[in-house]
Amino acid sequence: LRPPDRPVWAPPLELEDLVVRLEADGVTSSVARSEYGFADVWKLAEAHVSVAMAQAPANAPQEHRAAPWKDFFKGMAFATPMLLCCVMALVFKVGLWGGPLSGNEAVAVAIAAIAAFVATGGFIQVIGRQGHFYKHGQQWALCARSCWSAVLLAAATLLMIVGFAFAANAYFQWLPLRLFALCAAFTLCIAAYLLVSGILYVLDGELMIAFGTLLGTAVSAALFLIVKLPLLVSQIIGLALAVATFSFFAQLRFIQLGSRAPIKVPLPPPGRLLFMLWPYFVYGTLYYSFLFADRIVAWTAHTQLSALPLQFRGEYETALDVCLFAFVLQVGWIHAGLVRFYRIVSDEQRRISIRNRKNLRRTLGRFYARQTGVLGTLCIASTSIVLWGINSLPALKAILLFRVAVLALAGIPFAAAALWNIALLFALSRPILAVVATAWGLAANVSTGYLLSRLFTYDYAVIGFDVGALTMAVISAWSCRRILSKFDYHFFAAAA
Amino acid sequence: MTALSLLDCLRVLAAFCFAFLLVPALGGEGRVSDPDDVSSAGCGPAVRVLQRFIHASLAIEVGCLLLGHFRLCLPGMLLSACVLFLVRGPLRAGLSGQGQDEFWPFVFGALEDRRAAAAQIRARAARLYMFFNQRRAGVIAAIVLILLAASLRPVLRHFHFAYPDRYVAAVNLAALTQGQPWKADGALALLAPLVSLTGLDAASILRFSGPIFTIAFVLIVALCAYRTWESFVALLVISAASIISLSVAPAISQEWNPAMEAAIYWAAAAVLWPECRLDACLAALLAVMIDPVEWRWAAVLAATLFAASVTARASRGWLKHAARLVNGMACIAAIALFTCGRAGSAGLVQYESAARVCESIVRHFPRNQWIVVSPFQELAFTYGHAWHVELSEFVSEFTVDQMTDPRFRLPYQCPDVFFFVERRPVTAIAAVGIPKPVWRYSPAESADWSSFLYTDPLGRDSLEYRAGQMLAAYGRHHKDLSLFYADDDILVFHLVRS
Repeated sequence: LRPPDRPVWAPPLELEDLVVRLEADGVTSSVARSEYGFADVWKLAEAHVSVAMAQAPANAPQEHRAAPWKDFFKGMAFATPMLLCCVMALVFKVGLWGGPLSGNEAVAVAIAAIAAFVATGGFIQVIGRQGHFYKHGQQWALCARSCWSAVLLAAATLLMIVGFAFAANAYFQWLPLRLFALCAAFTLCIAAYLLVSGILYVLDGELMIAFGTLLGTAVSAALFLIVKLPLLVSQIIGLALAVATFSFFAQLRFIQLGSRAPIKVPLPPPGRLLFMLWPYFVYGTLYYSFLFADRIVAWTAHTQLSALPLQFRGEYETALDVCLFAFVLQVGWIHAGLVRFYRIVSDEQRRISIRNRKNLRRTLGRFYARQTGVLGTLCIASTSIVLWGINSLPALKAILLFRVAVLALAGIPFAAAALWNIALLFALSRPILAVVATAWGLAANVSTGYLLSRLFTYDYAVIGFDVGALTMAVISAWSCRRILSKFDYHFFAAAA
Repeated sequence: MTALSLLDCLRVLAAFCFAFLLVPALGGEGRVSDPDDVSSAGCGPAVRVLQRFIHASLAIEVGCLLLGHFRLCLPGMLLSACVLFLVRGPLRAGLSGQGQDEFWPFVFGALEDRRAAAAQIRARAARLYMFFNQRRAGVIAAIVLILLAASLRPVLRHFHFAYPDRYVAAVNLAALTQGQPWKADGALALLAPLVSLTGLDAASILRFSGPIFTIAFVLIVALCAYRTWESFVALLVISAASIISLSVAPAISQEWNPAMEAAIYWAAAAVLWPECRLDACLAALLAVMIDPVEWRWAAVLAATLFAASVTARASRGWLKHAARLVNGMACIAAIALFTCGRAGSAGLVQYESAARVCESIVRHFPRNQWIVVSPFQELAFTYGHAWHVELSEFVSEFTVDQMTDPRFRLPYQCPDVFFFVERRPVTAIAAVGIPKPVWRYSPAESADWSSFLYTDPLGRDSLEYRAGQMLAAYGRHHKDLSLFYADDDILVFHLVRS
């Protein structure tokens, strides 16, 4: 009765359990009748339940467990491009985007970067979700097809967004045409960079991302410093080169893994894909909107005297960028926590019986509380490090708004806690709850920041970020607690 | 320029339809067209649209007045309010789980069964075509187009305003929508969403609001006649009378003013009274909030209401006909009052060419990178786009001797500075409503020096002469000043700062 292709198996607990398993394997009453000669599936189960219950359980072999610090650094891998850009900017004064630009050009690049993150956020989530799904099933052709299809769809969507933005810009006269063209070009380049790096994350290609980013940055630095091309042109070429490198590596990796003709592999019907993936897409878009909303709110406040309706405020941006280091440290822990969560669930699954579900809930509750405590400690440590860094570097302190840095550091732990909760919700296939928490967080962020920045000074927009992060953390924590209190049911539902 | 003006007008019209009709229609509860409704003499959908128009207007009026008090009547706030109201329905449906059963099968069908989706779209398009293909819908659309053409003609030709208080209103509206201190004004609060939704300046909104409110007024009065007479001919007669009246009336009668706005809500109150008294009261309240001193419309409303109530209750034929006649006369009186009652004494406040040059500068020069040095009227066109310096300030701050010094530089920081000087000073201002200042001893000793310079013919002459003299002296000794525009009425100098 034990299926030969399953390494982990436990004998059925009772008759009903066996019936459920049979039906899950496609043995319905008609199959039982036609193929096995029983009146229905219940009769079939009754005939075999005693034999099945007498079978010995098969436990999974002890899996290789990576050290927690490795998981921690893997969790921080998403920040590799950003860290490399910072290092290159410090060494060569040139990054893949940003740098010594005029006020209006800085506005264009800032809008482009934010637009690229927000517009691709949903697609990157989709690439991650579908890519990992097919990757775990070793279906590399489908994995490649789904990833590249998402990139193509994102490219088409981006072109539509640029077209729409062009019409809106012509209507409202926000940016001069030249600046808009620059903004559009940067948006497309940065978006392509983010999308293809999303595929490489699916393929565990952090090193390839680092290499491509370094190559692109080095080329843009060389073009700017040696060939004396304009900085923006150099950066666009550097970004294009990085994207080409990423694409080459991604395709090469797919071919190595056995995906030779991804075009011929059919994907599931688009309606079904949309039904399954829309919460992930919406979450990705909302999450990046949440991260950048306070910047947009701050940059558009009190701009009556500026040349453009949006004014890039470097001291605000620098303060948030510095605080991002604390965020990266905290978010790195989320991946480690999630790995631990799966391990605990797997261990508990082996021990659990239908009679002691309460133990499972209690264990998971304790795990959640312990992880929250670890996160709190990490938050205090990372915040202290960043504050110490700002205070000990007067040159850094002079170019940022200290008040914004302190307020952002106060909000970042809530954002990290919210991400931890959302990761758990995703793990339990409850993306709608993650979407709801993020949407409320974004609404609180924008409304609070908008009101405060318009009533007082622009830097009060950061309080919007704090309030939004707190809202997101509270709502997601409430959802998590609700699910963990009935973990056995939700885990079974998620697995189904 | 006319094509651009037409485009701007369409923007204002689209924003008006969006804020006052589409948002309440999509975000409100229930459908506009109810097939089971046989009341309201067959004009139930129109009355319901009017009810929602009143609700939207009241929400906008109260909201903008409150936000304006806190200096928060900003585009972001107004756009967010519109979006929130629009998504209110889908959000409610989503939270209650309604609509899910229909939504996903529709999506699956649209994405996976192209033929079925195309058939569905064709069926909907056919229904829409059937709706617009009705003879009455076509006639009403033709009336709207003719009214639009009749009332647009003057505003497409004239950029300037005929009355001085419109310039003050334009600056006040611009201040409201930019979070600046403003003088609370119910008539302007209603226009704030149009500024935010169109991205146009306040002067353009005032300019194009006139024709739009005129059309709205005529349609509401025609609806009033239709309800009382229960005849489509009555609607046609009132519309034709309006078109004739608009064609005959002077062009300035279609210039926006608070009484025009209030008239719409008085007329709406008359239409809504038999249907829903609360909405009629709300419409009257709005009218009072917009223009508290207007009393003539209340008289017209009383006559219309009286006629409507008699028509509804009269059992004898002759009484009903008499009441209908009173109603018809009230409608005609309303149109006459609307088109001719406001064409009072108007005069030249600003040269047309000055307004056009302002418009051109706003279009072609980057935001906040230029200064206009001119009388107050040009501020209405430049507020929020760049800087403005009063010509009186310029004249009193500098001397001709300074201008003749080649080393002297005007202390303006922007790359482009425009000076507006009138060759023939505008002298008709005193005749159009602003009381002539009474000087206690002499103008020079009075505290209200700028009023003397702008509103008194003698003051205006001396101001423009002095400005012209100074700029001519500056131009002789400096190379950065050039003539930007010249005609028989005005000169516009352009100072390009390197």
